[in-house]
Formats: sequence, structure tokens, C-alpha cells
Amino acid sequence: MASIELSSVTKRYGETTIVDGISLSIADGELVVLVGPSGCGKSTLLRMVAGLLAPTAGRISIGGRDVTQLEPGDRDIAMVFQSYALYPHMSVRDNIAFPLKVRRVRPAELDERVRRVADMLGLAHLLDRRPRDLSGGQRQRVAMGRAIVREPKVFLFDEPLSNLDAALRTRMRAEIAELHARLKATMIYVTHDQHEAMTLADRIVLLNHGHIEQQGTPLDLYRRPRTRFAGEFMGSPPMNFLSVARQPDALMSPHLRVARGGLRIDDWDVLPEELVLGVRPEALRLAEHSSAPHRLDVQVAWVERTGSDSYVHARAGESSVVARVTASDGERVAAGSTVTLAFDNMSVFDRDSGLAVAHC
Amino acid sequence: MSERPSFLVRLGAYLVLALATLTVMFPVYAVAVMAVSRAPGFSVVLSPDPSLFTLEHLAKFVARHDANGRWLFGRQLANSLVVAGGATALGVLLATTAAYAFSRFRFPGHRLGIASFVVVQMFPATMMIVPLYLLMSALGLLDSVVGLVVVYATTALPFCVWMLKGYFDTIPADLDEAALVDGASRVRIFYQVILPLARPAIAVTALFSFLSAWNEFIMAATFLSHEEKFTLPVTLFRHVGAYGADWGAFAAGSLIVSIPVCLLFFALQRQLVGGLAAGAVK
Amino acid sequence: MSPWLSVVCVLAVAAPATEGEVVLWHAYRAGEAEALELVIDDFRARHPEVKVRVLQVPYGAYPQKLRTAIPQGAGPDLFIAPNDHLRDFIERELVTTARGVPADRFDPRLMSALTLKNESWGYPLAYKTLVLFYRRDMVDAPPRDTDELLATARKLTGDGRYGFVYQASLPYYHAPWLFGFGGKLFEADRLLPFESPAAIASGDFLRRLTFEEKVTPVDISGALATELFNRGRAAMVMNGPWFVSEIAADVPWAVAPLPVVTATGMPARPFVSLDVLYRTARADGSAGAAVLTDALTSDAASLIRARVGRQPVANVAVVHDPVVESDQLLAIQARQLASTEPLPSQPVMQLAWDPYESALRQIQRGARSPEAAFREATARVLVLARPLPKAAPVRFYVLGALLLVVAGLAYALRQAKRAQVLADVRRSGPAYAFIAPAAIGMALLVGVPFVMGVGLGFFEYEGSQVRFVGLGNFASILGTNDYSPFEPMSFYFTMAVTVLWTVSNIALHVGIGFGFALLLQPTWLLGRGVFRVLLILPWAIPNYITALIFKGLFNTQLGAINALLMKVGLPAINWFDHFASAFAANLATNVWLGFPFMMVTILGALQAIPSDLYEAARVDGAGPWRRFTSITLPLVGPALVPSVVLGTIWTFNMFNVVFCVSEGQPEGATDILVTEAYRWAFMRNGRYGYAAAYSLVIFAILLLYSALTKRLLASRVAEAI
Repeated sequence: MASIELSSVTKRYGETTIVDGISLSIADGELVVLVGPSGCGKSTLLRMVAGLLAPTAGRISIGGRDVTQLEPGDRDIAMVFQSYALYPHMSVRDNIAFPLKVRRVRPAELDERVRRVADMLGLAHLLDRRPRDLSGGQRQRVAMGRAIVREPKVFLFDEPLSNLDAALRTRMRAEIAELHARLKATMIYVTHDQHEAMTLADRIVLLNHGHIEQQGTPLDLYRRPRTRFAGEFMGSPPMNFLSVARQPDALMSPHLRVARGGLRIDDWDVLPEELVLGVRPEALRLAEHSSAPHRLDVQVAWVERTGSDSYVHARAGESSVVARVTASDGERVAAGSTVTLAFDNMSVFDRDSGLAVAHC
Repeated sequence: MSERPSFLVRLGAYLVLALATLTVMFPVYAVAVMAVSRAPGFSVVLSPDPSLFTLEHLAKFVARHDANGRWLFGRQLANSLVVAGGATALGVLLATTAAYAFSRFRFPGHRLGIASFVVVQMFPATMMIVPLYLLMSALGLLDSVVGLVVVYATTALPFCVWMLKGYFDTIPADLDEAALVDGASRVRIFYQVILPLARPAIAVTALFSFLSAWNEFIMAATFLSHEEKFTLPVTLFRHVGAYGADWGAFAAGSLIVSIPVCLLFFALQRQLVGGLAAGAVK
Repeated sequence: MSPWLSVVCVLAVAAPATEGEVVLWHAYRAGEAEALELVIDDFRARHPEVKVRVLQVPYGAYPQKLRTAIPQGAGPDLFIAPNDHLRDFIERELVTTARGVPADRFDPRLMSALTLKNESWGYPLAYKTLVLFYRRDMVDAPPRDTDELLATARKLTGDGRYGFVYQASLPYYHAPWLFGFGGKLFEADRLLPFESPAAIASGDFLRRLTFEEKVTPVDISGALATELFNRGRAAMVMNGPWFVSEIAADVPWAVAPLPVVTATGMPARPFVSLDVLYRTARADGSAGAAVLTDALTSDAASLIRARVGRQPVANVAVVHDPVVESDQLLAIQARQLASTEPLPSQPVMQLAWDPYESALRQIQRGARSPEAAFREATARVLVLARPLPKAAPVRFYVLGALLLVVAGLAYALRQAKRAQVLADVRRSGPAYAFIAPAAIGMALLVGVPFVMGVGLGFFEYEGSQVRFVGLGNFASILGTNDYSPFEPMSFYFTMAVTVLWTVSNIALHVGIGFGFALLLQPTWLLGRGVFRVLLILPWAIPNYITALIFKGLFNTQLGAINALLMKVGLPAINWFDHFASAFAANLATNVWLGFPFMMVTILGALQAIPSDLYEAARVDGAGPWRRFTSITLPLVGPALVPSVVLGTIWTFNMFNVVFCVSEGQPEGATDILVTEAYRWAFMRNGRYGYAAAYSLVIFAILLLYSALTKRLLASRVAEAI
């Protein structure tokens, strides 16, 4: 098992910079999820860790050893690809055994290890099949098996679940979490799905435009987004953003009032005057009476009912707002009506820089 | 695509296909008839006369011996097989490795290399014979089977590389990367991952190399100076002379020379469509 | 080290020594080859100490092989070839003077044909001249003069039969009339204009035979003359002694000397051509070669040739051999020999055959008067024989070349200086390792000959002398001073034909390939595999075989195509007399050869189209035609681009079909650039430099073409960068 150290890792193609001087330490046994929108550089970063791409600048070390110049096969890592990258002409057994054969593991030991992994993943009855005869979930497991059998120091996952349907994805996610708990191996997991990131990660690293936007525990990122981008990316449906102006005693807009009293912000007066308020849909509720300290008047467009919750889609002037309310509250709201929403938690961002100035 | 069209449409399709196939087969039929007929020349094609049937031409072509009693046809058949087989083996080896590099690596000279494979086909081949002769002479490879193998392998190379690269491009690069991460060397990836997956394209490449080596006549006739080293097409052309041709013998020879390639086509036709298609289309 | 390079090393060491062996080359077939084998067998029995190796070189490769092999020391000691290349052989120093055999063994007339600059350059083994063969069941007495010939022929013509058959378009076969009418080709080694009054008279006679009275068919090859004669469709045939072995056993035939030309009262005088035994420099000082020369030219060997090969031989002693005297053919040959002309060996004659043949063809089909046709041929020869480009100032060109090299190096250096490139090169070790074997092979076996070929374009041969002419050859090709660009003989016309040839071929390959691919596509089709294989079959057959077969199919008299036309009541077509029909014949052949490649490519492209696209289109209400134009075409089209580019290059340089099927007829109009280049190299006194320059022009045109389509090509090259 090993820690991973990235220092100022950069990847450039001509004039285009894909990864821009990222430094990151990953502790032994930690599961770090690299998340971000497509094109943010997360896959490129992972492939540099794997050794499939050479960084333009910077160093990568695994377990204290500088591997920047090493071939992928010499880094003691295993990787699960989005496409699974199973060898179509080999049976499941040969696919799983391939990394061992390459390393000239003795046949007896090889058989033993392949069987153990197959048992662990429930693949024992499929060993003689070809990949094309397997279902998506089974293929996914074979790809994992091929990674596990190596007993590497580090596992790399490149969007391993994005080719599966929703139900299977949930199950496999659980299996990966379980695997991590069992193997206690260092893992880097790349996904564009914030939900996957939230549920799996010890630590989330949010990437945007080739640099780290924010990193921390899932709850940290959820509660205290460092930037407006982080707030928008993490959480589903995404955070609502509402422009407000700072008044001496409140943050105001024609539809919105946030009283200074409830905010506990010390240096109120040095805040910029133009701000953006970020409120999570699940923080909004129907106001019982008009005296709530923070409230928002919206015009309801339509109500989406999922059974357990209702999503109220509404407009507040130019901004659209989504509120997650209880099913019973959802029934009380009619499309076209004007309602007042109350909330307690929010993030406040500088309108110009997008940086968070306060979390309440 | 799935449903069957009306009976008339299907009948029409069969009729057109049958007619087209007959037209296409006509010259083949002409060769076959001339080869087994005693009548000298072409008119026999339209009015085949069973009473003129003979296996004499075929037998003569096969039964040739030289002054020392060596069975010339046997030797020349062996030469043809060795030359075509050797050119195929060498050509496939060179083409697959080069195509793999062009498909999987980006390196200085990559574009130039690919372009050059197309460009060298633009210089008329007939004009290369004299310089090639001088070169083979300088290398001491004149009048040798090895010389022909080397020449045929390289002349078929541009097309083979071009086709294989196209096919390799359709094999996901993920597989290479997975193997790399699994610790396999480039060489191992090449022969354990890529080659098995490219079998149809390799079959086509091999077929093409074999075909062009098997059928070549001018270079073989120019480079070889021992009759027991000749390939079959060179012998075939002994029946075409200054004052006309012995059509029966020529047709018989053509038939015999063509049979192995046709068999090969039959054997490989499934791969041919798949392999050539994917390779040439991509 | 690449695997085959090591093979090369091994082989260089293991190259077999052939010291002490006497090598004899010939291009004989059939009875003549048999006779030669007998002579050699006899020699081997008598001289076991001399090792003899005999090689029968296929006729098509013979001159080229002699010219390339002998200067390399890879040629024979002795070779048998006709005498018409004699001066060329001497100028190229392929042959040495004939020594060691007494000249009085041979007919002095024949021996004198081999004497130049007071030396003899070979020994005559046999001679050949045209005589008149006739079927005794059709002709009672052979005609004594041309009037009788015409009268007899007229009587016997009709119902698909012809009175008098010969290869009327070949100058060799026209010569008897030319000389019989009192014409001349040379005066003191100078080629005279073709349009002399006597020659025009001979042309008028040809026109009467073929165009006016139609007693002589056109488009006749040797094989067809044989066929017509054997089937009783030709009463009289003018042909050489080789004809005998082709006459069917059941045909009652006889031979007579050629008739007298009534108009002049002189006998028709055919060419006499010799089978000459030449010696090369290798034979000098070789005792074995001397012994073999003596044996081959001996009276005994001559007797075998006369008896077995039925060759008219040149040895004086054999003429009166009873067997020879009783052989009607040999006796008539000997009689005919009295009125013959030696086959010209002046190099300029090599340039004259083609234009002369064109003139004869035009006369035959009545396209031109003999005078106009011969005048044009004269002009054509002047063009072909024009002086070689002047020597160019080497210094100037070397300077230019140096500048180019320096500029290239500077550019390469500047590229390499960018650290990235160097780093990339260092990083790309494995890639270069994978490419190395192919790259070395290509560089050596394609690159080196290519550079040599390119270099050759700047030189010109004069005999065995090589001269630097700079851009002279290119100026001469592109300047096309001798013809207007619209005449078939000009470079630009040939180029236009080549473009037309390429475009129509590719259009048909793709069109027909598409049609068949669509037909083979549906899953309900039974026997798909069988149809597919049969339709791919043309690809498997060597293309020169295909070309020769098609040439036969398109033959005017006996070709299957004309037979089919006549069966459905259409008139027969003289396919090679008109540009359009000759071009169509070439096109048909090459389409037959070329469509399978496109068909297979298109089949693959069709399979790659996801079927739900068609289903979606169907849901949208698109009919079959709409689905084809909106889905199939746009999706298959781009996939075809690489194949089309490659197919274009192949078709542009498709030598075999044009060379074998139409042979450039009529008058070189259907020649494409590459066949023209070949003619310069191998049929017009070996103008290798000019031919190389021609090839370079072809190369430049194709390069330009691919640059124009580069955007399409680039999409493929640049896809993953």
C-alpha cells in the first residue's frame, strides 16, 4: 500500500493546457475521487498517474518512489477503464490472469489467485466465457478482477460505472465501497457524477479547467463550497443562485430579504456590495408565516412530484429557483401561484470573483 | 432492412445478380474452354466442341522436364510457392509492425511516413525495374528466390501498411493501455493483444501479398536466369512469342496458375470482406 | 538489424559460382525450341567437359533482359536473337565481333547482313521470309502475279471466308509490296521519307485488298490467320516458316513464292530476318563458348534445325541435303530468298515500325489516303528521332542541387532545434523500432530505385554513353513542340486521355461496385457467399492474363463480343479502329478487373451503418430511394475516399491493360502516360532518360492530385493527433 504525491503536474498540448500545475497528496489507503465536468482534466491527470501520458512538467511519486519516468507496468498500479478494456479474444480466466502471466507468476499460484478473485467477485462460473458473452455488470466485475488479482499498491478507476444502467450502478458502487473497505488500498476514482463522488469518497478533489477548484470531505464540499462553481457542481439539483445587494441591515433584492441578524458575519461592512446568494433546494421550505428572517418570494411554474418529495420549480424575477419540499407541502402549491419560501442555510459569494465570502 | 421485399423485387435481384455473375465469369469460362480444347484460338469459346476435348495442354504444362530430367513444373511450382509464401510472411511481418507503430504512436516523422506510403505508389512500377535490377545485382540477389521475396515483400508493403493501419485504428487504444498498466511490454501487446484481434485484416494483407507475388511476371523474368529458378508465370509466358501465341497452352497455364489463388480467395472470402472493409474504409 | 539484411549477408557469401559454365539464351518456342534442345543434347554428349546452361527467356521480357543483364555481367555468353537489333546491340556494346568460325560456312548474302564496320557481329543460324501458303482444296494453282492474286482472292471471298489473309497492318508484312512496287526504305543508312510514289502505289494496293475489295480482313493476329486457314475460312495466307507448325494435320496445304507485282513486273520482295547467334564479352577467352559456337553453327546442327525445327538454315552445305531439298517449305524459302531485302538493323528503324504500322492501319480502314498516311508517319518518325537534348552545364545544376540540399538541411535543423521535437524523437524509441524493418526495406528497395529513377530523368543515353542533359528531357516533354496539344501524339493529349481513363474507370468501379454491394447486402438473399466469391474472382486472376483474354474477346473476326453482336443482328465492330471503341474495350477490361476492390470496400462500409438509422428513417416516412440518398450515400461516401484515392493512383498507372488490350490503337490515341513512358524506355531505342523524365512527370501529376484531395486525405492522417 502506498501514498501518492503529485507536485506541480502539468500537461500541455501545444498552446492548450489541460492540467495546470496540480499538486496533491493522497494518503495510504485513502479513496480520492477526482470529479469535475468533462474537459476539466481529471482523466488526463489519472492517466498521468497511471503512466499512460507523460506530464509536460511536474513529478509523480507513488509510495515515496518517483515514478514520473516509469512505464505504467512498473508503477505497481491497476486500472479499471470506462470501457473495461477486456481483451475480446481471451476468456474471462485469461483476462484476469493476464497481468500475472506478464509477471511470470507460477501457474499454480496463478490459478489459485485467479480463483480467489473470481470467488470474491462471483465470477467463478463465468471463467471460460468470452467477454462478449457477458452482461455489462459482469464485464465490469471482470475488469475489477483483473485489477484486484495483481494486488497492486494503487487502484485507478476511470469512470468505471458510466456504461451501466442506474440500478446496476448503485450496486456496483456499493461493491467498490466494500472492496475499498476490505482491501484498504489507495484508490483514485475519476467520475463526472457528483453523486458517485459524494457516496464513495474519503476525499473529493473537484477539478475545473485543469486546476483544483476545491478539495475536502464530501460533506465539507457540500456545506462549504469554496466557489460558486463548487456549489453548483456538487449537489443535485444544483444550488440556486440569486443576485442580492448588501444593505446595512440585510441582503436585498426585489424578491428576497436576508436579515443581517441571522447571519453572524463579523466584517459585514467590508463585503462587496454586489453579492450572489447560494441556497440549496433542500434548504428551502414553504414559509409558515411572513415573519421568517430569510425569505424569498417566487412564482411557481410547476411542481414535480417524486412521491417522497416534491420539487417546486419557480421563478424569482430573472432567476429560476428549485425547492425540494415535503410531499404534503408540494400538494399545497399550485402552478401559477405566488408563494414565499423560507430558509436558514446559505452560502454567500462575491458576484465578481465567484468566491465564497460566508457560509451560514 | 429486416423485412423481405415483394417476390418480384427479389426475383429481379436474383436475375440481375445471376446475369452479372455470368458476365463476370465469362472470361474465366473462356480460359477454361481454351485450356481443354484442341482447337487453337478463340472461336472455340462460343461454340465449344466436345469432340475436341483434350487434357493435353494441361498435361504438357505440368509434365515439363529439363535436360537433366528434373521436373521443371514441380520446381517452378515450388519456387512460386516459396516466393509467394516468403514474400507474404516477410511482408506481413514488416507491414504489421509498421502499421502498429503508425496506428499507436505519435512521433516526429509520423505524417511523413504515412504520406510516403501513398506517395511511393505514384511512380510507375515499370520504370523501377531497371534501377531495381542494378540494385539486386549490386546486392548479389539477382537470380535468387530470396531476391524476389524481398522485392515482392517491399513492393506490396505500402498497400498492406495502409490497410492494416486502418484496421488497427479500429481496435480501441484502451486495450493497449490496459495491457500497459498490466505490465505488458509493447512487443507483448503487439503479438498478444493486437495481432490476434487483427486476424481478418492480416488475412487480407497476406492474401494481397501472396496474390501480387504469385502473379508477378516481368520482374521475375528479368531477374531470374535459371529455368529451374523460374516462377510459374514466367513459364506461362513462354507460350506468347514474337509470331503469335499458343493459346491452348497459354490458357492451360493460366488456369493452373490461377487455381491456387482462387482457392485461397474461396478460403479467405469471409475475412476478405470484413478485413478489407474495416481496413480500407476506416 | 533487420532480418532480411542478415539474409542478404548470408546470401552474398553463398552466391553460387558459375565459373566455367557456358550460358546460352534464346526465345524460341515450339519446334524451333525442340530443335535447339536436340542440338544441345547432342553437344552435351560430345563435349561432357563443357557445362552448358540454356535459358529460354519469355519473348516479352527478352530485349529488356538482354539490355539490363549483359552490362551487369549477369548475361549469357551466347544468345540467339533476330538481326533487327544488331546496331543497337553494337552501340550498347552488348555483343562482340564474331570470331572462330569460318564465314564461308554460311550463305554470303546472309553473312553480309551481319557485317558492319568491316567486322561480322554474329552467325546466322536460320533465316525467315514470307511466302504464300494456300489450301490445295480451295486454290488450284498459286497466283503468279498480283492481278491473279486479286482475282483468285475475290472468287474465294464471301460467306465469312477470305481469299487472302495476312497481318496487313504490320510493316513486316507490307514490305513485300513496298519493295515489289520499287519502293525503298534506306539510302546509305539514311531513312527515306515514306511517301515515295512507289510506296504510295503499294499503299493503294493494300487499300484495294482490305478496304475496297475486302478480300483481306483487318485486325488479324498470327493466331487468327492460323485459325482462319485451318477452318477453311482463308484460302491463301502470307506468312513465315513458323506457320507450318500451326497448320492443323487435316488441312491440305502447299507453299509458293510470293507473286510478282503486276504493275512493275518485279517480284514481291519480303524482308529476310535472321536468327543470329551473338557472342557477348563473357564469351571472349572462354574455350567452352568457342566450342559451343562452333557446334551450334555446324552443318550437323543446321541439319537438325532444318529437319526438326523446319527452319530454313543458312549453312551452304545443308541447302543441298536431300531431306531439305525435298521439304517443300524449305525449298520455297530458299527460292524466295533470291528476292528478299535484309531486315534493316539501323536503330532509326526501331522508331519507324510504330508510325509505319499506324499508317498501314489508316490505309486499311480507308481513313486516309496512302499518301497522307505515309506523310504523317514520316513526320512522326522525325519527331521520335529528333536529336537528344544537348548536354547541360553540370556545374550549374550541381550548384542548384547543393542549394536545395542546404535549404532542406537548414529546415530540418530548425525543426529539430525546437526542443520538443528532439524530446519527442528521444521518447519515440519504441515507435522507431517497430517501423525500422519496414522503413529500411522501403528505403533500400523502393527508395533507392526511386531516387535512381528520378536521377535518370536528368540524363540521356547515347549508345552506351551517358550524358547529363539537365532539364532537357522535361522541356522536351512539356514543351510538346512537335504537335499541337490536340493531336493524339502530343503529351497533353495523352495526359487528357489518361485523366479520362482514370475518371471513367473510377466512376464505373465505384458505380458497379456500389450496385453489386447493395444487391449482396440483403439478408434474405440465398447464396450470398457464393455470389460474393464469384464476383470477387476477377481480382484473383493475374491482370495480364485478363488483358490478353479480353484482347481476344474483342477481336474483330473471331472475338466472342462481335460474335454476340452478330447473333443479335448487330454489325461487327472493328474495336481498335476508333478511339471511342478502343477506349471502351480497355475500359471494359479494367472495369472487370477493378470493380471487386470497390465492391468489397463498399460492402464493408454498408455493414458499418447501424440499422437503427434505417429504422428511424422509415419511421420518419422515408422511402427506399430517400433512405439510399439520405443515409447510405452520405455515410458510405466519406468511407470510400481513401480507396478512391488509392484506386486513382493505381488506375492512372495501369500499364498492363492498355498495353495489352488496345496497344494504344488507333495511332497511339488510347495510350496513357505510363504506356508512353514504357514505349520510350523499351521500344524506341531505349531512351531511358526520357522515359524516366516521363515517369517523373506522372509522379508530379499524381502528387498534385493527392495534394488537391489532401483535405480528404488529411482527415485520415490527422484523425488522432
